[in-house]
Amino acid sequence: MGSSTMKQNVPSASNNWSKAGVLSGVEVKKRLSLEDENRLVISPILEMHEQIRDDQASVDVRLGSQFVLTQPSALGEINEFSEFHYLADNRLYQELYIPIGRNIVIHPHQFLLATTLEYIRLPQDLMCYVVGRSTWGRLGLIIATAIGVHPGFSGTLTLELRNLGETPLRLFPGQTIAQLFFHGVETDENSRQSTSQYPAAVELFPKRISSQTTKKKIGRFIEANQTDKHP
Amino acid sequence: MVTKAEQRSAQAAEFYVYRLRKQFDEVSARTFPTGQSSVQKVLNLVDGLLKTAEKRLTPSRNNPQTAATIEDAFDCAREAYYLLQLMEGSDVSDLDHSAVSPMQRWFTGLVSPQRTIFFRAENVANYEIRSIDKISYSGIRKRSPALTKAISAIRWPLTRVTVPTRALSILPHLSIVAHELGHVIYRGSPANSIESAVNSALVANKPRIDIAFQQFLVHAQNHLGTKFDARLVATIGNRILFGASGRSAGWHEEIAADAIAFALTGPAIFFALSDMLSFISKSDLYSQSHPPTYLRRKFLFELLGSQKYDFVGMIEKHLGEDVTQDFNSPLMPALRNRDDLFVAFENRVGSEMAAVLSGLPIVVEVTGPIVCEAVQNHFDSRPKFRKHRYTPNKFGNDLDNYLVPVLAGVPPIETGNDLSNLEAAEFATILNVGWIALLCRLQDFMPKAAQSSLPNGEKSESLHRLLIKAVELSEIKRQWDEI
Repeated sequence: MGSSTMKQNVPSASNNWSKAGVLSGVEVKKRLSLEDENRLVISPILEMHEQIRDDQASVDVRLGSQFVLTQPSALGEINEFSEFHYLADNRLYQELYIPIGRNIVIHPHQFLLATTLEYIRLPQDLMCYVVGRSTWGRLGLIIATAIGVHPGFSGTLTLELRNLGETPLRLFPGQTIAQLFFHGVETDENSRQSTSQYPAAVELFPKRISSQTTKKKIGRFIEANQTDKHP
Repeated sequence: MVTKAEQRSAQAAEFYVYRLRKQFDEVSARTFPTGQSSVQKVLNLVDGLLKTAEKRLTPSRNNPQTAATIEDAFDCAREAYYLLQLMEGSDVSDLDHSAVSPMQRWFTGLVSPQRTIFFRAENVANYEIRSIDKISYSGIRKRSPALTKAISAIRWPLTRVTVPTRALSILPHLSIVAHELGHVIYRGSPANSIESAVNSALVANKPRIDIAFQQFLVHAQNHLGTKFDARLVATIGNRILFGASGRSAGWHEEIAADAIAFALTGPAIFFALSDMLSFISKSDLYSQSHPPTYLRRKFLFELLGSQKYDFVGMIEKHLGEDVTQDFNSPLMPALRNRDDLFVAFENRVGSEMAAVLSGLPIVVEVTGPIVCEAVQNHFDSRPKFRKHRYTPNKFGNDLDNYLVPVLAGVPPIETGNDLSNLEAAEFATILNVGWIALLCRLQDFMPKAAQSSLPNGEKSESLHRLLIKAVELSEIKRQWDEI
């Protein structure tokens, strides 16, 4: 962002950043202003004074325009150990783009995927928690079930919306939907350098359930189990 | 009284209109990108046509059914069907929703804020601009109030821009839309017309051009022998250079449109056009409507490296890359010598046209740079145009500010120094940073992430998604700040 953009060759601003603890609004703003690899990116922040308050410890984020509705299908079950696991099969999902000014209704007990409007990049010494706003919670809207975001993540955050209330809720992209609490992560230089970043995530579809190693090992158990049953 | 046959015809018309109404309802229910307000105007026009047809097919004391009323209904239905066909691909499922607003802004900023223009995507490897005249509706009798209102709400001619969809809807290619816009600007109102600026520049360089034109005629005479008719060859040559009338583009207009796109998007149009033209055709043969691809690329490259707009130097300084004419289009065939071209063309278009087409590059080699310079001068001398120019300074700043972040997975969304007062990034910024990242730094894209081991196709796609996100969010930022 102009001269405030992250510059590759600028050395780390300070080693004090990685002290564990929740960042205040003031600290978050400082992090947003850095020009080195410790910079926190939240972009765009449409109303800075509303979304980040100095005396609070969170950043309000808004509902984005991308949505995915899960839909019934005649496919088999989602099973990551099956050759046809259907995990990211687009026959299970309907993608919708709702521009600002339009809306989408989430009906009681409906589940849909959404994103934050803001694009986020966490430096290697910060993680964040995604927490629903209490007003939405009181209306029955749950915004996320996977609430931890790891250091190095970059992308828009996928929100798993579910209306647990009894009344349909009309959602407008641009509304504040959740808040992020940023937390320092104690790392030393070596672990920082070896930590992989998450890819620039702007898609909502799930990609994998297990890591490659876990998947391989459970796969072997399944194979052995099948061999036992059918010698 | 209508005859039995006419009754049957009326029934067919009713069925046809009924189905069109269903189709219209289905199209209306689709989501169109932000900024596509013109689409609603077109939909209103379809609705008005259908209402007129429905009214004409409903007999009353004042509107007895006659052969003429049935014919009117068919006319309306035909036009409605044509419009629905024109709109295919204009909703968000085909057209990248986020890219429409900035393209629309080019048109409203440089042509007219009221201009009724819409974008649609088609599964073709081409970009096209089409104008639809009001005249198509002038013959419709007893229009419904909805039709009258819809016609008057449109700033005619209605303009449609087609861009590729699916595999070829590559965001940085959209700088080619600036070329299509160039056609509209070129033919703009007389006061602002770049066409007159170009023509004046050509007149000012007449002696040089005359020499080239003489060489062209000698070439034609050599090949046509006794069939050579100097006046006819000159007339055909001029028609190809300047267009057949005010409505069809000539080679000069194509070159001017490229130069306008250069003024708006800088290096992005050079990369986009080189890439796209190499993809479209493997042949070096060209047509009456477009000058040789090789020369178009050459003229853009000359602009890119000109002393005034030294983008080449900027790329070399920032990236340490030598910029050559075939930077991203090594497979584009060079122009054959004109005698070989004559032979290649002769089988296709006959000897007369072959002599003209194969000889005209002699003239365009001279006129092309003059056309390009006239366009750049026009842009630099008028504030309305100047503020849209993508300058080498902007390009340098964009590379400084955005290239490293993009490679680290941060899209160019905002710009500025004051955190509480950032502005939306420009579309041209995203296009150019995108091209440089794709062409020169793909291997550095998110080096620590899983992407680093991906094949180039997937890696490019990942970067491309980031650019699309940049356009989406910068547009939201802009609209939010403006409302």
